[in-house]
Amino acid sequence: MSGWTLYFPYAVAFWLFVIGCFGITQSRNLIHTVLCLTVVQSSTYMLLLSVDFHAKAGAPIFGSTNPPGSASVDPILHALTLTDIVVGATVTALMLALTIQIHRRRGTIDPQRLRPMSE
Amino acid sequence: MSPRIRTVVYLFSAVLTFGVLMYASGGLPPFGAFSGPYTDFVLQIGTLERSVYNIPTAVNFDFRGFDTLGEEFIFFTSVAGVLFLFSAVKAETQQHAEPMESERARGQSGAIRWFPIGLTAFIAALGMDLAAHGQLTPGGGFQGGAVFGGGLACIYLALGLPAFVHAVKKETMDFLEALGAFSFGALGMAALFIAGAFLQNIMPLGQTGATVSGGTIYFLSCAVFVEIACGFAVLMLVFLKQTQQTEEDEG
Repeated sequence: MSGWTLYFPYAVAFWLFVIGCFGITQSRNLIHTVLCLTVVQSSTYMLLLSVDFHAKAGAPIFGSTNPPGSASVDPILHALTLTDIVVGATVTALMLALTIQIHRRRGTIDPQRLRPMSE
Repeated sequence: MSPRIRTVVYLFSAVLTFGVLMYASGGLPPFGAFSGPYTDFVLQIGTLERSVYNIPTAVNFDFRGFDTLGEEFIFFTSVAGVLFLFSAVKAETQQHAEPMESERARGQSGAIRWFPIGLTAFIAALGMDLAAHGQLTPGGGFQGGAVFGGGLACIYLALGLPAFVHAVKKETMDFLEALGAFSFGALGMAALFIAGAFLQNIMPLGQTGATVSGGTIYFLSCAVFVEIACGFAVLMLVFLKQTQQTEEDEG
């Protein structure tokens, strides 16, 4: 690997971030907005996992083929990614609950038709 | 803001953000070259001192156990937040009568109704397996709990909402979820009094590679499994009840 491939995974992460934001700005449905937010969030998984990659290293789970102490990718960032995923799932649940509430109170989940609290 | 202006503003800031981030990534180590002393240290002592093979699990429940306590309570409070949001509605609109047999359960062939039941058992077993061997193979409490919760969803797919509500008792799930969260903190506090540091390993480590090994890590993983599995069950329960209510509101 050389040249541009050395930074390509970072570019993918940033692209996911930017394209997820595009979805949020163009959204006509709050459920779609929430899903776009998960795309934005997956850019952080991509970034963490591309930082922790080691060429010629195995998974940080040891066994008979890779005995303890052998070359391995970074387990810290794997653990952080796991935290990230859990937090992402809870944020999604909370946002979807809010979406249901908004639909019940305002009768629409189109963010462009939702005006600031007026009633 | 009109859609056109919105798009123009977006494009401008997106190009700017992407450019700045790419410029900043030049300061990161190239792909595949990162190496930190913390990593080498953890890889070296993970198996020796904690007798686990799955190092991310050791990081989660031991080396960075305090972070995981925070993470676990993020999950706990957000489930509580969802329950709170929906309980406000209940008070407003009065509880509806017993939900009728849902549309979904009617008019399905036997195969579609009963296949997911077998699948529930299989997925639930897989979830427990992932959690129980989190210190040896890929998996752990969080992953196992999420898989187990997904398995419970099959009950709904097969038999509809009434059966799901019947099988997954909300009070029990609430209690078990809180119990899981409590045990994590309690194990940490016990370590504080016995060994002098929060979440320090106080259990016998066992033989590396055995089903029950890794000391405190194993029990913390199980506590998290119970919390996450029951948390997912509660979330599904309240969301699915909402669909029922909305149908009734509209019908």
